[in-house]
This record gives sequence, structure tokens and C-alpha cells, in this order.
Amino acid sequence: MLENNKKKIVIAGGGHAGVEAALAIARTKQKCVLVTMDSGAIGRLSCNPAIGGLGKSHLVKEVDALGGIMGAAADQSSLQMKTLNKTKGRAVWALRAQVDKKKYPAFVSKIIKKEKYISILEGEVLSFNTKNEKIVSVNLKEGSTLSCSSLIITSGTFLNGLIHIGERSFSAGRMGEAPSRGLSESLLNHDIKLGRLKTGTPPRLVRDSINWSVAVEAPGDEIPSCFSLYTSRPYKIKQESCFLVNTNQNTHNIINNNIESSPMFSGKISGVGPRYCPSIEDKVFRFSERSSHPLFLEPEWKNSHQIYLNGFSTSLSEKVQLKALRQIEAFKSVEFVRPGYAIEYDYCPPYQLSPSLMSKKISGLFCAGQINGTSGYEEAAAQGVVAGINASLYIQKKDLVSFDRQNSYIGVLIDDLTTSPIEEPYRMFTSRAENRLYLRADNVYERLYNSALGADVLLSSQLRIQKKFHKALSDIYNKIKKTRVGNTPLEKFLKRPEVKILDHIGPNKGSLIDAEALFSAETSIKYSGYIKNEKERLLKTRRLELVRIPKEFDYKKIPGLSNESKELLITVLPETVGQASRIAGIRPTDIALIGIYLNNKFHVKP
Amino acid sequence: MYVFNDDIVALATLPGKSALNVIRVSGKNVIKIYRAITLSSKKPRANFAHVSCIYNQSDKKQIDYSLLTYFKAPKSYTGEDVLEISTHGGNIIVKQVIESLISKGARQALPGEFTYRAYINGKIDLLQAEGIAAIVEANNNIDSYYHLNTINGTLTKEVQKNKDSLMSLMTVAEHELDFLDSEIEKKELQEYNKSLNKLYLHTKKIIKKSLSSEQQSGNLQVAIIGRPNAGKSSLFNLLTGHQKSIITNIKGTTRDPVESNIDIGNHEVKIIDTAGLRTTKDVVEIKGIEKTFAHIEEAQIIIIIDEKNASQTYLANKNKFKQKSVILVNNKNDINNHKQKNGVFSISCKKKNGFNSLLTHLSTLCNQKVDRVYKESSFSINVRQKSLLQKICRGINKANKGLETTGDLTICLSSLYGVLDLYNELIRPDAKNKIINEIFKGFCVGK
Ligand SMILES: Cc1cc2nc3c(=O)[nH]c(=O)nc-3n(C[C@H](O)[C@H](O)[C@H](O)COP(=O)(O)OP(=O)(O)OC[C@H]3O[C@@H](n4cnc5c(N)ncnc54)[C@H](O)[C@@H]3O)c2cc1C
Ligand SMILES: Nc1nc2c(ncn2[C@@H]2O[C@H](COP(=O)(O)OP(=O)(O)OP(=O)(O)O)[C@@H](O)[C@H]2O)c(=O)[nH]1
Ligand SMILES: [Mg+2]
Repeated sequence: MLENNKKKIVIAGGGHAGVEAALAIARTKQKCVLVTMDSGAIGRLSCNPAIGGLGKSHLVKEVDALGGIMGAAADQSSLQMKTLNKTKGRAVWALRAQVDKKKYPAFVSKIIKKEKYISILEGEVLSFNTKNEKIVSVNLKEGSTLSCSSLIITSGTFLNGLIHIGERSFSAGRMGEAPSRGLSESLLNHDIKLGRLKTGTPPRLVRDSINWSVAVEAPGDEIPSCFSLYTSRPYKIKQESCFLVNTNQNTHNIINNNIESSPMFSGKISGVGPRYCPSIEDKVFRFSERSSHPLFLEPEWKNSHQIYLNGFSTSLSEKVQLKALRQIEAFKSVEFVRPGYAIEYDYCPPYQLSPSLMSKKISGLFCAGQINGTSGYEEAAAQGVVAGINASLYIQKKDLVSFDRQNSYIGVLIDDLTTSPIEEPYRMFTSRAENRLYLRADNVYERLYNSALGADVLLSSQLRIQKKFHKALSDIYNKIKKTRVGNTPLEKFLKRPEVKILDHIGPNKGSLIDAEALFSAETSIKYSGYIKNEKERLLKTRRLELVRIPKEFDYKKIPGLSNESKELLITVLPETVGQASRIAGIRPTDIALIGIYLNNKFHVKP
Repeated sequence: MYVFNDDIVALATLPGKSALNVIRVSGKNVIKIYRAITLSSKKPRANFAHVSCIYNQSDKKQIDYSLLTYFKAPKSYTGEDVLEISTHGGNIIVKQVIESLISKGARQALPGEFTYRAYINGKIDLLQAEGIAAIVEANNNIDSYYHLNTINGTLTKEVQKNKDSLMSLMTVAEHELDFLDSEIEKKELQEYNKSLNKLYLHTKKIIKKSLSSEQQSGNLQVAIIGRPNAGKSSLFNLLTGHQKSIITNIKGTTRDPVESNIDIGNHEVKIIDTAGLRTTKDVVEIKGIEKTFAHIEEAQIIIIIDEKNASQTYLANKNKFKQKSVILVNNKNDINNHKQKNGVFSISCKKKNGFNSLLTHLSTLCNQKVDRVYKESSFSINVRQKSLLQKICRGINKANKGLETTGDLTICLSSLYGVLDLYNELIRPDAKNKIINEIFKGFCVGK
């Protein structure tokens, strides 16, 4: 029994990162304990009732390819499916699900509770203990100690969480949930640095207080798509609508006149907030030339009486929020279920992690999700999978794995996190990837197949479906090879922008997987020339990626390296020259110097 | 390869006779070295000229009374501590001062090492570094003028301006892909096409306005051509003032071209005597004539000389003289009856008749040519820079075509990132994430 416990993994937090980590571990047939403060809140959506969207849907797909649950859960709880960016290139098409905030966590909980390798423990991890810089146990709030050899912290916004609404502020992990206090101290005691970030959420409106007749309807796609390859086709849901209204100059005036009631503007919040998801006061202040901003009205669950007001994230006082909104025709007599608020929390600057998401200082300690300075369910889930896979490998004493940024957004995400200082909560954008044309949603099951097999994280049912998809793809490619249009091989012909594959090869009757494979093949072929160019361009970085920097490498000894660069490199301790080259502030000449020194001292040729 | 942790020393002025010489030291131990050679315990003041004796380190004898200026890092040429020592002229003083510096741990710098350190320490960008390397090698004053333009950053500025507009275009495009249409203001595809086209033309213009290194192989070239025995070699010797070229009354005397540099007007000009043009079966002479045509192609000014009828030679080879300045000269007016008319000079190499008027014309022409180059080109670029700029043009064109045929911004951007890489190769690269940062700076984004 004791022997067994030694090999155990503890996960602190049952949010999106924690859930995916637990599942990844269970799929590799290792045991874990999911400790979470409220077992009824497993997989809860803290903020917006949506999964996916621009940049993020790629992550959901990648999690799905690695056997994760997010895509399937979104498919099962979706109220509306919409493909965004449809007028732009296929590489940036993005699926967004408006989800039922009650159904989503219920689905996730059900699956988690069924897993025999996962045990759920309601409680709070207060601190952890180490021996020879290795995790040996965790202490729980109620006083007991759990021995384990690995700990994954996925504490979200809970570490020393502090909510702000106007001038009022109070401790909380999310609205209505207690914060987590001990873990920060334990991390600091182990010489791990912490920082502070903030994020905000908009008010929830009483549905019946809204004048819907003046809001503009924003419907979903006519034919809805789904995220997960494992969701059965045809995918059918009843599409519900969202609605759109606009702020006006009066709204802006009221916000401007009361801007000092926002703790962010009065300097009360020390954490840095995201620029891409600014609060309404931020938008009004910084873009004073705009007379109006769009606001989306989104249902939080089926027939919910509360409406999520997307676009109005704020920490203004409740009174001002109400007054500003009531300037809008549709909101003349609007009432709140709950006002908008901002939350400040501790995060753990992720340059302290290696690309496996394991701490560089403490073996067996992993961090995933919002604690690493990211924001968003999808970013959290993606890290959860990686931390789960590696914690499992760690306790089995196997080599840890990392994900290549040229092969996946997961790789981009973790590489960015571990090499660049976080200046604001990090979220995924497709522009962060160097080879966007290759990192598409439609080829995700090809891109990550080997990783999934290598980590052994697929359920047999999932593997079967992936294989079926690959079979469909290879059949299509075979057909393409054999087909000619006039004298031109179809493969070449397809590169013309106006040519469609369906006009030449039909899907097998009734097979919907086939139709998706056809789309993927068509896209791959149309983009192939450009992808080849991208690959060639990235070859140079590719080469640097393969040059490992030995652990004993002493940056202080490199002649000519500036002190600032030395300091940066010593803090981050990159594992490859490629990583070193991406550290913000490191110049190409620094890389040249490292190269020369590596070559001279270690006979490693970059 | 260069090493960086030591102190380097070199004579910064040209060796030889001059009133003053400047010796430069750069590194981490400059203050220590300063104290040792001046036998003083005080630290030198930054950016201050100090008058002091410099002493020989072995016998403590005085070497020279010099002016020592200390530049504190990073505000120096190399970005390290730098000491500039102005000594009195003469090789012996220089030699002794450098010896005493070396005895204190400095080492003789390798060629270009000061500049390399300046580049490593971020004092100059690659374009400027290359400009400095070029000025050191420049062999005439036109070249150094252009290199100066490169060094003080005019070229960098121009290229940077283009790179900036590319970046801002890419930022707008990325912004469009990263955010929903309802959140942002969209740009029409034609606007992208227009901007890219403008960028293409700008870059083309930079290339056009630049004097590339193959063009600047230095001096203006003047080729003397004509039929055998016309007196080409005689004119050549007359112009150069030496009897360098062989003169005989045998047709086809000159086979290999003969060259000489002379000062004409304000510039150094290369004069070339060539093999006479005629149809011949002599293999050696044929080779010589081939070379003549090659020289015609390279030269900017052609003097066609003949005993009576230079215009005829001109007309016979007219297509070879496109974009060249041609001077027609009839020779031997001591024995042949011709006068200067219709712009055709009439001279005698033997008697020097009409020579001055030809010389005046030639020097005016040379001055004009050089001035034109001054006016038309703004900087000099080397082969590497030129080929990168050309690649940039091609890249922009490709991106533009991609956008036109597919209407797919991601495809266009993918090519533009390639172009951005080329810019980064050309000048100091930007930190990663710049585009993302720009997105946040310039736009109202977010849900
Ligand atoms: C107010 C607010 C606004 C937000 N706004 C946005 C937004 O606009 N856009 C966006 O993309 N994302 C937003 N988010 C973020 C999004 O909700 C998170 O990024 C995502 O949920 C993070 O997932 P996670 O797994 O890291 O943590 P969470 O989903 O937060 O889960 C953390 C879990 O850990 C548990 N826990 C914490 N500490 C302990 C402990 N010591 N022991 C045991 N259990 C513990 C908690 O009980 C909780 O279940 C917002 C979140 C909040 C709270
Ligand atoms: N009378 C007279 N004879 C001249 C004059 N200039 C050149 N000659 C003679 O013309 C002959 C040929 O002169 P070169 O200068 O060798 O002629 P070239 O054009 O170089 O001839 P090739 O090299 O054989 O093509 C020599 O005998 C010269 O002395 C001149 O102005 N007057
Ligand atoms: Mg001759």
C-alpha cells in the first residue's frame, strides 16, 4: 500500500487543467488523487459560457487529438455552434461553442467519477513537502498528509484571490468560492517566484429585464459542426441565438465620469490585466474616438434566466455599471443577477518550468493552467494534458516529453510560456505560430497522432475512430493519385484556388468522417506549396532547436555576452539553442556567441 | 574568430608620416592600462581629454607627451571602455606606445575587430558595420561619400522605414485574423494590394538609388579605341605623360590593353589603350579586339580616334555605345587636312595641336559623370545587401500575387513573414512578439 502511494500523483484543483491532467494520467493507467475545494465545481466554467473561438478552437482540437475531454464536453453541452473567420483563410477558421454552463461540468464530472484510476477528494492542498528537491507529500487543510511523488498544481485564479467591485474588495477564488491561501507560501518557501495578475468578468443580467425587441439576433451556423472526432455524426443540436447591442456615447460619458471608482484606474489593483480582453472602462478610456462598442448577450444555460454580457468586463462599482448600461435602449430597465468584477491572483512565472511543465527546481512538481499566467479554459486544458502525460511518465521513471512549436499550438503555448516573461495573462492567437498554414484544425489528428500513441493516452474507442479517419484520408490520397483532370494530375489541378475536390472525388456514401477527411486533404493540397516554403524558412530555427545546451553550461564564462543577456539566460536556463533564441531580450548576436562557445568548449556545432 | 574578454589596441590613423597619430584601446581594463602607462594613480574622467606623459613600461622612460581621451562604456565607439591616445607623429612613437600597451595586457586588434565589438554591443547595425568596413577599403572619395551615408544610418533609416510599413501592414492583417469582424474595422483586400505594391516600388527605388559595389569598382573608365595606327597609343601616352604604350608605325602594335590611372578634373580616372579595330586573321589580334569590346562595355567614356574620319568608326559600331559618352577625335592634323567641326576634335599627337581643348572637354565630362552619380544615388550597398533587397522585392511581389489569386490573408502573411526575415537579415532584427505588441498598441480589441 505504501509502495503504491509513493507512486501516486496528487492534482490540486479540479478546473479545466486539473481535469485534463487527471484523465491523461488515468488513460496511462496510473493513479491520481484529484483534490479540489468543491467537488461539485469540477470542470466549472468560471467566466464566459463558451468554448473555442479564434486561436482557442485549435487548442480544443489538439486536446481532442490527445484524448482529452474538452471538445467532447463542449459538443455535448452546446447551445450554439458557429464557425468564425469563415471569410478568411482555412488555417484561421475557428469553431466556437456557446455552452450550457450546467451541462458542461456535469458531463465532465460524470466521466471523471467513472475513471477507476482517479479518486476525488474534496479539500484544499495547503502545502507540499520535498526531500532532496523531490516532491514526497502534500498537506491538506483539514490536517492530513497525503504521500505522493508528484504534484500538479492547477489552482486557477484561487491563489490569494482578491475580488474587486468598485471600491469594495474581498478575498475569494471566484465569486462565491473561497480563495486558496497556503500554497503560495509553500511555493515561495521552496524558492519559487510568484507574480500577480488580474482578470475581469462582466455582469450577469436578468433575462426578463432586457428589451429583446431592440437587440439584433446573432444566430449560429445553419449546419452546426462539432469539435471532437469522437462525437457521433451527424451532429445535431438545436441552435439557439445570441443577441447583439451597442454601447453609446451616454454610456461612455458615465463610465468616464466615474472612472476613478474602478480599482484598476485608481491603482488599487497591482496585478496586470490582459490587453486583448480589456475592461469596458479600458476601452472607453483608451479609444475615446469610438462612439460605440459591441456587446453580446449570451445565454448561460438552456432557458437560463441569467444572461452573460460579453464585452462589458468591468470592475466599476455596481451602481455605475447599472447606470451606464441603462443608457442603452435594450437595457433601459436592466437588472443584475450579479455585477461584473475583477479578480487578482498569484501566478507562478512559467520560465521556472521546463517544456514538460515540470519545475526546474523541484522534481515531480508540475504547474498547469491559469497558475502559469495564462487565461482561458482552452489554454488551461492544453497544459493539463501535457502536465498529466509527464507526471505519469515521471512516476514511471520514464523520459518526459515536450511538444514542438512547429507541430502544434500546444507546443507554441508552452514554448512561449517557458521562454518569455509574462506581461499579461497569456492567451492563444494564431499569429503566435510561425507556421500557421500547417497548424490547422483539419489536420490535427495527423499532426498529433504520434504524440498520442507515444504517450498512450487514447482510449481504445478513441484510437479506433482516429484510425478510421486516417484510413479515410489515405484512401482519398490514393484516389487523388490515380485521378487526372484532362492531362493534369488531380493533385496539381487542386492547387488552383477555384477547384473543389468534391467535384472530382465524392465521399463514400453516408460516411461523414469521409467528408471531413476530404476537406482536410483538399486543404493540405491547396496549401502544400506555401507550407513547404514555411518549412524551409523555419529550417534554420529547426536546426537551432536540435542543439541542446548542456546542464553544466556556464553563461558567465561566455566572452562578450552582455550582463543583461547573461542574467536572462541564467534565469530561464533554456534547454536548446532554439529556446534561447526566443527569450525576449536575447539578440541574434548573443545566440552567435553561445554557438561559438558551445562549439569551442563542448564541440557541439550549431 | 574574435574573442571578447580582452583589451585590444590598434593604430586608428594611417601609418606613415603625419603630424599626429591616434591609437585606440578598447576593453575592460582600459582604466588599469591608462594608469600604468601614465604612471598616475587617478582614474581618467569620462569623455575628457587628459594631457599626460606616456612611459615605457620596462625602463619608465618618457615616450611621448600625448593627449588621452577616455570614453566610458557604453558610450563609446565599441560600447566598451575606450581610450584614444593622440601621440605626436612618427612611427617610432607609435611603436613604443603600442608596445607599452601590449605589455600591460592589451593585444593587437584584428582587422575590423573594433567595429565587430561595436556591432556585438549593439552600437551599430549590420548595415553600418558593413559601411565602416567599406570605407576603410574605399579607394576614392566618391566611394567614401556613399559609405559615410551608410554609416550615419541613412540607408538603415530608409530600409527601416520600409520595414516599418511592412510591419504595420502585417499587424493590421494579423489583427484581422485574430479578432472578430464585429470587433474591428476591416481593410479591403485591394487596400492590401495597394500597400504592398507601394512597398515594392519603394524597395525598388532604394536599389536604384544605391551605388552597388560592382558599379563602384572605383574609378571612371575612359577607353581609347579606333582603327590600327590611328594614334591610340600616342594619345594614351600623351594623356598619361609616360611612354607606357608602345608606338610603332606597324598596324596592330597594341594587342593587350594598357591601363593607367591619372588625375583628370577633380577625380582619378582610368585610361585604357586598346587594340585597333579591324578584321584580321591574326589569332592574337582577334583576342585583343575582343578585349577592346569588353572595355567599351565597362568604360563610361569612349574616345574614338582616327586619322581622318572618327565618325565612320563610330557609325560602324554604333550599337556598342549606348549610354556611353563618346568623344570623336581626328588625329594627325599635322599631315592630314581636317579641322575641328561638328564636335569632332582635330588634333595632332605629334605636335600636340588641339590637345588642350580635348583635355578640357574630357575633364568637364569626367566631372559631370561623377556629379551625376552623386545626384542619382544616395548610398552604397554591397553585393549581400543588394541581393537581399532584390529578394525582398520578389517576396513582396509573391505575397501580393498570392493575395490576388487566393484572397487568403494567411497565405499572403506567410510570404510576408519570409520578407520580414530578409529585413532582419539586413538590419538589426526586432524582438519577437513585436507584431503582437503592436496589435495591442494600436487597436481597440477584445470582446
Ligand atoms: C472572474 C474571472 C474572469 C475570467 N475571465 C476570463 C476571460 O475573460 N477570458 C478567458 O479566457 N478566461 C477568463 N477566465 C479564466 C478562465 O476561467 C480560466 O483561465 C480557466 O478556468 C483556468 O482553468 P484552471 O484549470 O487553470 O483553473 P480553474 O478553472 O480556475 O480551476 C481551479 C480549481 O482549483 C481548485 N483549487 C484552487 N486551489 C486549490 C487548492 N489549494 N487545493 C485544492 N483545490 C484548489 C479550485 O477549487 C478550482 O476548482 C476568468 C476567470 C475568472 C475567475
Ligand atoms: N604625323 C603624325 N603621326 C602620328 C601622330 N600620332 C601618331 N602618329 C604615328 O602613327 C603611328 C601609329 O601610332 P600608334 O599610336 O602606335 O597607333 P595605334 O592606334 O596605337 O596603333 P595600333 O596599336 O597598331 O592599333 C606611329 O608611327 C605614330 O608615330 C600624329 O599626330 N601625327
Ligand atoms: Mg597602339
